[in-house]
Amino acid sequence: MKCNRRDLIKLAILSSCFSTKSIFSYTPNTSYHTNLKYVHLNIAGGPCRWLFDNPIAPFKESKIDKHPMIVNTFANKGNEANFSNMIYGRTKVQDFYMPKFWEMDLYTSTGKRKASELLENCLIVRGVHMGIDGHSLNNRRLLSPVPGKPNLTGLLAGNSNKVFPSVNLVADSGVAGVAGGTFYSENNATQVDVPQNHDNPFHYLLNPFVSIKEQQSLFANIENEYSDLKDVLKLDFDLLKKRYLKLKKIYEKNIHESIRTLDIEGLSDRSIKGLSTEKISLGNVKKEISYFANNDVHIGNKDFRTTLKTSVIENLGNEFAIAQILIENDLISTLTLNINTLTHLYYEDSFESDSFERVIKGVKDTFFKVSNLKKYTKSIDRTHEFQLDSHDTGLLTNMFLSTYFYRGISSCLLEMKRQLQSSKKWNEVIFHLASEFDRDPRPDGSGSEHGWNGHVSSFFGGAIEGLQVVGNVEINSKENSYYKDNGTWGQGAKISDLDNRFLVYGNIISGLSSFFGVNTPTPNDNPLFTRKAGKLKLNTRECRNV
Amino acid sequence: MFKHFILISLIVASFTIKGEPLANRFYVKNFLLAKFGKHLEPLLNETIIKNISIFNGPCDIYGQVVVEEKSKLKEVYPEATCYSDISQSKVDMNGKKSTLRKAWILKTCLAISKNEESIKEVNSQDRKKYVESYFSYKEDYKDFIKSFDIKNSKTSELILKLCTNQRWQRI
Amino acid sequence: MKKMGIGYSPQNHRDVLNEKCLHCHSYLGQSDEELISQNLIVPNKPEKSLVYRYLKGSNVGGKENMPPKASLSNKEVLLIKNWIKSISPQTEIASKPSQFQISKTLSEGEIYKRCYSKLTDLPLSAQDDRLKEIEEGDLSGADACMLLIGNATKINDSDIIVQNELGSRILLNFQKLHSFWFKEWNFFTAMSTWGTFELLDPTRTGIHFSYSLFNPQYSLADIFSGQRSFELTRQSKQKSEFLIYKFKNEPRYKINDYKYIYGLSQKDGSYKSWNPSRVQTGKITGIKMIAKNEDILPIVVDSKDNQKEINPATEIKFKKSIHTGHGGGIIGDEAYISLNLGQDLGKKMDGGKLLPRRWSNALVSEFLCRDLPVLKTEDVIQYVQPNSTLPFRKNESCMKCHVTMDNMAGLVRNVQQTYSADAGGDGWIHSTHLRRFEIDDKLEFLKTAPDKDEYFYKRPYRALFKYRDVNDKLIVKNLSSLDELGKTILEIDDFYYCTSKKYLKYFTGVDIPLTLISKRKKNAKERLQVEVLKKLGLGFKKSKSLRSLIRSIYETPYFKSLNYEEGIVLK
Repeated sequence: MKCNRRDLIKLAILSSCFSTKSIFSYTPNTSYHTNLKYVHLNIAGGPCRWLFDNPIAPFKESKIDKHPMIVNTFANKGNEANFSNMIYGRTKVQDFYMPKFWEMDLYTSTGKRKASELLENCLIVRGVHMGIDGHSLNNRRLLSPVPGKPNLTGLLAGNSNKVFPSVNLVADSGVAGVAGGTFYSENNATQVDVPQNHDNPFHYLLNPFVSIKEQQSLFANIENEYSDLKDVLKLDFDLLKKRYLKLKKIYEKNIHESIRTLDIEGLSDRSIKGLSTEKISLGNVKKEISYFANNDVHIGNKDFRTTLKTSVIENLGNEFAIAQILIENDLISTLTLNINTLTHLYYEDSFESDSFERVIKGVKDTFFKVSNLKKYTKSIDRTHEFQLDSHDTGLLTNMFLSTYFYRGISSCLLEMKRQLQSSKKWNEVIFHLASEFDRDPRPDGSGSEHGWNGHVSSFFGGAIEGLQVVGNVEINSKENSYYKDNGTWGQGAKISDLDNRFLVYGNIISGLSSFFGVNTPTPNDNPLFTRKAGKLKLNTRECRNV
Repeated sequence: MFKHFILISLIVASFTIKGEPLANRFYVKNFLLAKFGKHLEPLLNETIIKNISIFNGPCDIYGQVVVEEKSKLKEVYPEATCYSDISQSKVDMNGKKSTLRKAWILKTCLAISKNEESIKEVNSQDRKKYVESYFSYKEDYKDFIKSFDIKNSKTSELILKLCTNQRWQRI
Repeated sequence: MKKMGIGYSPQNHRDVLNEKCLHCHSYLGQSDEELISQNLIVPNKPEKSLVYRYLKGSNVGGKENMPPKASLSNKEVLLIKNWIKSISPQTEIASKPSQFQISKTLSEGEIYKRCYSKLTDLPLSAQDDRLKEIEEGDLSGADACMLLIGNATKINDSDIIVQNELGSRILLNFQKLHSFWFKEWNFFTAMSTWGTFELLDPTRTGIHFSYSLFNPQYSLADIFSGQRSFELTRQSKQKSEFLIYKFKNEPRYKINDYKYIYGLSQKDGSYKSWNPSRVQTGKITGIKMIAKNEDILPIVVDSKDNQKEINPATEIKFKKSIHTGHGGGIIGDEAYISLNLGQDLGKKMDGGKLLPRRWSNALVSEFLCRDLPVLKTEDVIQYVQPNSTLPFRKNESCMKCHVTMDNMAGLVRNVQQTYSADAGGDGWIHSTHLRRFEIDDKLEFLKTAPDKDEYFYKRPYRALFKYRDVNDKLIVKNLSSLDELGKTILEIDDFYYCTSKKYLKYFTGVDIPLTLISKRKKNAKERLQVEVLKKLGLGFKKSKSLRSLIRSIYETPYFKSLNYEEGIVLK
């Protein structure tokens, strides 16, 4: 057998590369795209997505089995919200019917813009089976699908020639339980963890370069050994810092306006009577009282909307500013950006949640009772947070605060998109928004459980043409979910293009690996998408409610 | 938008990772303490020990002993500390080349070269013997003296040259 | 991968692959060598080649379902067939030993300096006494290195105790190295049971190797058998005030504010409490075997409090030490199985979808340095079940992994993940532990792997361990316990190569994949690597001594070269 030059080159490269040994191995790193960047936006906690980027009825004719908790709009006219007239509203964006969220305005540096602009380059993958429950377990799998094997950011960083092959912007969730902390590169590439609440996170990253540059005259006679730092040292750090501070202000302003402005049609454009306006007696109470629950507090506020009066999403503006600087200056190959929840919510006339006992008689057979009504007296601080792991987040709290939470994030994403389009970097980045799983809503509207077989991943970037939605969901949830027969919330259904198998997270990882040109850590899972002529191309378009 | 917007493809060559293992953060710290003075401990804890992902050398989960002193947390054994998280107990034992490592070494060495006590420490010794004992291996010493005039250089320059030399980092 | 598109007229196998296959299976673009090494084609034998067997129209008893949405003409099938037939099976020519030169060789004293620095993280003082002995010719560098290890600790009634500060450093470094070999560290499963870190050390798998290294009486056979578990002894000038997992960020949890609980919550919301010993903190002072009856947990539960609605937890009598292993020594270590179980709380193994495959995968990867599949198609064809409801059982290529993986996993079938209590939180610590079901001898052995067997977790079981080592030798054994699996691992050359490779990488930075051993065409550098690895591995297999292995590494050209592998000049 003749071994031609092409084979020899492949062999030489292969012998020095990580390679997997199975039928679904991919050709190795020769196709690695050096200028592409992967940004992983991680929301730890598994908040619900049906209000945001999980279109549970993506087409006009899509059948759904309504669930009382899956609502996003007060449908009544007038100045006051009517709880008995709540619907799941949709809006048409390109070929799909998306949740009503996408009709709203987002606040950007160039004024209000329609949220749907963000969907111009967006892929949504719904109904992904994670197979097993668990926050930490599943969040870690988002980047490290096979424990012990190189993870996605490790693979991308391993091929990187950037100053910071990988950066992890840490948030409240810490590092351990979440994706960013799983970084592992067989090529020993580096990931820098930027601690949150650092006095000056931008400085933290560029620290050594800045201080070296200030003393450049002192090391003239060691230049040869450190010549590879020359290029980095040519960066104008003062200018970068000024730009970072300016961007930080922009993002923080966008977030502030997006989460404090009460202008969302059908949601915050009318007053919403809070729990304190209800007469609560001891003994059994109506289940609607649980709608106001937010984990350890039942929110009393006379007008529920005032919960946002003092709210913030800590560190998010800062993170997006850093991210933009790193992307625009080609300083990274991968970035993990961990997102904090809404905190510093404003409560008044509220109650301790353990005043209200949820009595479970059986599956879908619950009632509520009050034996000792206790006022909630903690003062406003970051523990007044919107609980993303929304087990005990009631219908109203979930609908209202989820929407604003995602509005804050979307305003940043849209700002980032517009800024990167302007600097011609939008085509070089894929933003991947993910959490462990979606939610399986409780029949009584008092909260939701883990929907581990309905994970949603959304992707944004110039390489994605238009809005694309893929993934089948069950009209009525089946086994392998928390509740059976629980309506349409997004539990994944089988895909005929995948030999009648469920979509699993490995299909996404293989897709990303293929797109970026690295070996996949999940060789047994076919790629959901690939890269063709610089664009993301789906290998299946199935998107049905079955 | 920016004055200088440079691609650093030249760095690719220095990133081919195969080859000699480099010293991890523990050795780097101990080496610099031994050669330039124990007073450098706080500096080296900041620039070397804390940079686990850059210099490698796993943390010791249960080596961490944390107490409260004057309402502040104190880690009794800083070298055991997992600064980001206990996942750092699984970083590699050996160090590796990277731009970030070079930058932090250079920054540290610049600080040492200006440190009065370190300069005193070096000046208090016979220069030739000092430089000879600096390197573990004769070959490295021989190569060093070929390229640098140890007799007539300023102490701060000598310190910088020795400290930033890549050889001592290869155990 | 270029598709020919319009006017497609294939002239060779590459044209066919490009047009019909590479779109989904891009790895088929690799060279023939790579396809052979990955068992995708067998030279000269299309009927045994996986790639050919899958093709529609190949007619050799294979799956014949590729490409899924297109057909293949007779010509296309023939082009693929002829290509495979044309590859001649090459036998490896027995090669002469590698010729090489070390450009700069370390002296004996320098060898000692190197290992000293490596093991202690300290530069060696020029005044070191042992260095003088070496320079006077009374001691070799490698022997001095071994004395360093030998004198680091002493043994006192099976406990290992460090002798001094240097000993503590050496023990710590080896323990870190051994721990690094095992990737998983996070006990979290369905719940973030941070309390587990207070009671179990996730790095303790590595302690088995450390114990054997510092107590040579504790053999390899001991490492891989029994139910022993170990802990590192430590001491500290101050007592730690905070829980190990909960001091980084607010709110910080203080040790004295927390009680260890078990069982279900009582009517008043409180829990029963127990008093286990916490993992010691501080500087390492030695290694100790954990007593058999240490930390007996009375009760465990099989579900969590927020699953009350669909799967209320029940209390289960446990009354066992939380440390006892499950057999097979290190491979059955409580921490190792717990970290790699990969199964939900309360799940019982059913022999089909539910098996601790993550554990068996980890075992092959971490103890044998191999990635599945290691078997060939011919090894597994007889186990394919065309009528199975499980897709992987019907598929030859899937079974190449599953035959090895599932059989091993079956040996841990009787293990179930449980919690000490159904909830943790303010003031309470709960933790994750493994329950072991008693085997019910009244149940029959199953002759074939079930799709779903509700009694699998307690059924008598015999694993058919099937594994091809890196020299392509097929190992087939019937095993019924983890002890037997441990014994089998010690019979496989891969274990010795793997352990050698790991130590070699640490000491010299040279990382040699085991698959290089079976690579047909090697360049000069690779030939030397394989020679060195084989020598180390086979030497280790003969001596069965970790210390001997480490000593041999000091004798390798890589260690003796000033610039490690870069300083080796090949002829």
